[in-house]
Amino acid sequence: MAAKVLIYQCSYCSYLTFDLLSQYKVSLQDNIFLTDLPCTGTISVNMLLEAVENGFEKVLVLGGTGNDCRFLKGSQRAQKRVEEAVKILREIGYDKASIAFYGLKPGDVDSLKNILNTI
Amino acid sequence: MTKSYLVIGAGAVGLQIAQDLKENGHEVWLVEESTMPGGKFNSQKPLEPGINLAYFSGTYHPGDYLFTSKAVSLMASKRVKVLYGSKISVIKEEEGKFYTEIIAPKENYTKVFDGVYFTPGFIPFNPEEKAEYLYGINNFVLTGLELENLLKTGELKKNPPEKVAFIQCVGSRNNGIGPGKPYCSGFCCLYSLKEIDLLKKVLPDTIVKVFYLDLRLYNKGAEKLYQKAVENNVSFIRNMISAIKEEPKSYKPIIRYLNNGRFKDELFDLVVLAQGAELSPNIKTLLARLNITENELLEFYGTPENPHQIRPGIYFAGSFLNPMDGADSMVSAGAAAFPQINLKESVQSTMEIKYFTNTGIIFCNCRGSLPVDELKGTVADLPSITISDCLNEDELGKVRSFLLDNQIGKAVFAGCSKIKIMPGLEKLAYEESIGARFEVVNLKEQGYSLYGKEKFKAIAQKLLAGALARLKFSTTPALKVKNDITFDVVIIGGGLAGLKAAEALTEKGVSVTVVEKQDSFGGKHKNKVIPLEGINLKEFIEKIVLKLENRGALLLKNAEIVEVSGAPGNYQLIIERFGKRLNINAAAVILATGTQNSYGHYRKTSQIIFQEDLFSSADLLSQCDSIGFLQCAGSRNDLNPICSRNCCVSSLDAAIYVKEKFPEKDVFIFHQDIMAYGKYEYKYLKARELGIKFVVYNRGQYPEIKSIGGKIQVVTNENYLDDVVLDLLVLAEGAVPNKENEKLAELFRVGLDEFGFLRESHQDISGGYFPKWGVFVAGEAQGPKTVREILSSAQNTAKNVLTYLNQLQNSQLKVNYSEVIEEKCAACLTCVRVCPYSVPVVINGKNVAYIDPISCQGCGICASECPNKAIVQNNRPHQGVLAEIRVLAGEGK
Amino acid sequence: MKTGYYPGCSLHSTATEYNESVLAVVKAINDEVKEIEDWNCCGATAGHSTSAELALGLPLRNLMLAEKEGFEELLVPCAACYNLFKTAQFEVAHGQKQDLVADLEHQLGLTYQNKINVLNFIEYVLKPENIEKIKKLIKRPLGGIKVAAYYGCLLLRPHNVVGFDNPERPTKMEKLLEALGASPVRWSAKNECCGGSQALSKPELVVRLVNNIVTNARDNEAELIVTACPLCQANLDGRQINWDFPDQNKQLLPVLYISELIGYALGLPAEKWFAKHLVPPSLKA
Repeated sequence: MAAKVLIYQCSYCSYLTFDLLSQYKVSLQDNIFLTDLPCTGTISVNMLLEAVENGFEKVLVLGGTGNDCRFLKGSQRAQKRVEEAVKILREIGYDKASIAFYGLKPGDVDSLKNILNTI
Repeated sequence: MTKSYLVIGAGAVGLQIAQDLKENGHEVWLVEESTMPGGKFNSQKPLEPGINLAYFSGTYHPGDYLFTSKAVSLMASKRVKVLYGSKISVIKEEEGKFYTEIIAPKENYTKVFDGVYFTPGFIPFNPEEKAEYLYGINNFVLTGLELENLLKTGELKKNPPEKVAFIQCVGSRNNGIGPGKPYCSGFCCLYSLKEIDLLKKVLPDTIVKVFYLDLRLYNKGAEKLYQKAVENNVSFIRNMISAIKEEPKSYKPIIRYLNNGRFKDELFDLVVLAQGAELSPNIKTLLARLNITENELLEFYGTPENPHQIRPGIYFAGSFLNPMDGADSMVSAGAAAFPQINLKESVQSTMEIKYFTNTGIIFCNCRGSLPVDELKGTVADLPSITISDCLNEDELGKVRSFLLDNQIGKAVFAGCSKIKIMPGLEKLAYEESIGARFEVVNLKEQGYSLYGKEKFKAIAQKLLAGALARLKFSTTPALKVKNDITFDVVIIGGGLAGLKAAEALTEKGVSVTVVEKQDSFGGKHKNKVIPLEGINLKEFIEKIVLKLENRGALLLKNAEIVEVSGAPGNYQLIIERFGKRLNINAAAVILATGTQNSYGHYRKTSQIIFQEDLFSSADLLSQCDSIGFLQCAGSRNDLNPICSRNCCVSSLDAAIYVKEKFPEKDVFIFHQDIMAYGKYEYKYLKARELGIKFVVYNRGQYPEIKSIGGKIQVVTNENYLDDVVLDLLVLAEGAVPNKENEKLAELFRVGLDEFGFLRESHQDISGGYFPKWGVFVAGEAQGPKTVREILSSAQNTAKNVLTYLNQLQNSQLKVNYSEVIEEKCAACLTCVRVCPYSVPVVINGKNVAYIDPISCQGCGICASECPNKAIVQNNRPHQGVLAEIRVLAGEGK
Repeated sequence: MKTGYYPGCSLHSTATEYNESVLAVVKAINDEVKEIEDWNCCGATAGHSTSAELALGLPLRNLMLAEKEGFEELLVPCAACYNLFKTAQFEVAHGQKQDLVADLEHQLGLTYQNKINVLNFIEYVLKPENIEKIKKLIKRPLGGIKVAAYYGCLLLRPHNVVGFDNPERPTKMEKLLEALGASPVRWSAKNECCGGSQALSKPELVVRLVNNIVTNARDNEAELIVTACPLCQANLDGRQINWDFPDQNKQLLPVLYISELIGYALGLPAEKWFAKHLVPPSLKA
């Protein structure tokens, strides 16, 4: 069975990019689940670890880059949270799941395609 | 005072204007000839191809983003009447008001309006009128819109063409002779480049050649597409094609063009014609009823004070006013609506909100394209409804009844993208005073289109179940009333845009502070005395400054912004002036810091000067007998890669000024492409009629300039033209982003685009130019503009600021915000420190944090950072997200 | 009778087969046309390129004479004459050169109404009553012979003056050919210039232009070319033989007047007309 993947989008950057994906004839496998948040800054370490605990082998948080974040610092926060969660997983020696954060400019379909290819 | 307005044409511009007018309390009737809104951006209109993917200021957006949410919001509003498939049969002006008779599918109406907005856009020029291009006769000749459709359906991949030709300017720039129109249609060069970009993505090996007269890449992001095209081996050939011939038997198109001085006949598999903008005959009839002739319309370009009003009460906006691309048309919409937008003085009285408790599901099968019926069984115990078309009055009515009859407080909308539908749903509930929270599950763009038919049901079920699980923990929206906000607006930058925005805002009673770094106002336009676009800018600026002083605006010269804190509605700015620090409070900030000049690799001499030198001198021109203008001196090169947009227009203005005053003088303009787009083309025609000589040079190959015996000699590339000897050569300096932009970006946390200009928002396509809630951009800070465009954008920004101020002070049904659970709060100040907007405060005496619901932007950073989970982000409460994860994971660990 | 006839100089000399075939067709459908009394040369290229007064005055005198004789219509088979007549009417209608107009009116003793309807031969034949008669009278069906309809320049341009058919993609001659039972081919050179009177001053140019036109017709499988202009016919017929482009096969295409083809289809004796052609028509006269 294919590894389960959970992808968190933010409402102002990556959501739009995902909407554009189908126009570029990209298709997803049914082991990848998409869900959205107002801002990736809403994500907590708890949520990331819960996903891992429930069997998701890959958790991706896709937010904005630099000053593009509509909520000013949300993406930066999310990046830090992801680093925290990764650190915890490493400390407990759990290597069957990976968590990552990527920052995308809104509408940057090419970068999103590259990220999806790595799954 | 509430008035009633008629908006003719429900395209992107009409919808925006209708929305602005409605938000301001006016009654609006929107009459649309076809059965759907959205105009050119609607690619689902039967029989009319539309734009599937729109290229807006450098980014792609699905075409339907530009109209769906606005259309649904408008249709849900009680003060707005949207009539599709309708025609205006009678329109008469009587005593300053407009009596109309409207024929709609279900009934006919008569109504009197206070004003009329014409926003019907344009109809694409019918290429059959230029029979030499064989459109309609030869199957290999298409229009750009048809190509877009083929790319969308994937037809082209089955039979990939090896060679495609694009012919520009079909139906535009006709010099007043024959079919088409004399203006430049302003969007076709960008549009063709976009088509080429999309084509190359699907068919990277296809050879593409573009035949053009001037490649008008003045729009933001256009140059980027051009560079990409060049990298993809697209050829650009400056040749106007007079006819298409056919290869015997195959009838494949043959194009003859000049290649290195010899004729070449080349065979193509496909020819794409860039159609220009034409006037609809129905609109011509309507205008005639108001005694406005087609010629009047063609020539109308407004005055600087009144760019949109052709007569009192009759306004033109968007491409109907002046053919333009989508991004510019949104600014035009805002500037046109501005006169009607006022600051609402009183706070709206508290509404009686119905707080329901039931959860329900609204399925939308999107005109039959989504198989949502398969999902009905999965949520058997919850009330549900299925609609098929959000843009249909009756269907929206069904949703309304569903919410009321079933007392739905939380609803999952299982349909298309959140961006398209959410604002409309929220509006629908608000108009009925229902406090409902909507969750949107995107089964279309991020469902069916991504996963395909077979996997749709399984994925959709999971996503739906996840959303429902999450929704259990969310609260219903609460009505919040804001009482104490300041209405002051601070404008950073006292140039043309800043001053115009200040004038517009003070006119409506907003108090304004203008912060200008230099020791005088007007920016780079302050000394210009040669009239540009009919305006003597020096006088114009002096007048505005005087007006602002009389209106009590605070004008601070030698002042710089050094620190920013606070939240939208309550910014604290620290300005430094002569070593002292000033604190200023503002509800909104406008960034109008303009651009700086780029002089290319050129240096000034006594005979080689720049435009800024010429325009600020009243006498220089009379002393020279031969004057030349070198375009693109400071643009489209290694130092400044983009087109600076205003230099061709100013050179034309200056050249015409010289020739009209001194007909005997020789005037030359050396150019790569003349950016006289839209109705600026008329300047170009006039310049040629006056005998101004235009000399072309190849892209990137600046002509050699020699200084010989007190004169300037320009070496031309044309073998039929001798080198030109001039007394004076005026170089067109370019516009580059203000070096301050990076500092501003940091201070205000706004984004910069790849060229360094301040980035406007993308997700809310309203020409909003507000990258952040509360921070606005006006003028060239967003990108280079001509003088009129700067004024227009300032007015549009003023409109946006007014709308925003009105929203701030009115009661809102707040959906997305964070709330502190007081019992759990330990006043650790974590939230206070992490909030990017500094919203949480610790209340003295209570020793708990308090988050003002209206200022809260709803990002949820505080909620996830709080060590005790004492803050609930009520759109994505913690427990809700966890519940969703468990549902999506399915059978568990 | 209401239809006047203006043959012009070429129809009485180098294009006699055009004249004869036109008149024969007119007779065959029981119609009558009468030559205008005392008509003068229309000026053609020599007139209108030398003097503006001649350019208007020469054709205008003929139009006035036609009106004086009471004709409502004027049939002008030669494309050059037709073009000049239409131009004259256009200029008078737009109030140009009023002194010249008044002078001629005075000399001829009339007030010119400028209402006479000038028709070229294709327009004449396509009149509903005429085309119906022709269809009924066909004796030699053309059997789907592939014909390239060549319009040239003067029948079509300038469009706002001549107003006959679409100047970039004309179709009227094709409609006529279909009515006769021929198969008009789809080809690109139908309105390309043949070189006109450059045949005398720059014959090598005409040879090249004619070559382009005929090659395109032949590549599109045409068996013959029809035209409605004496100079086009002379060029296309006469200059095919001159060229020596190496990669052309030497099969020559007959170039007929449209009236000759109609006459042939109606079963009229065509030997005398076909004998005047340099490239012999393949139809059995």
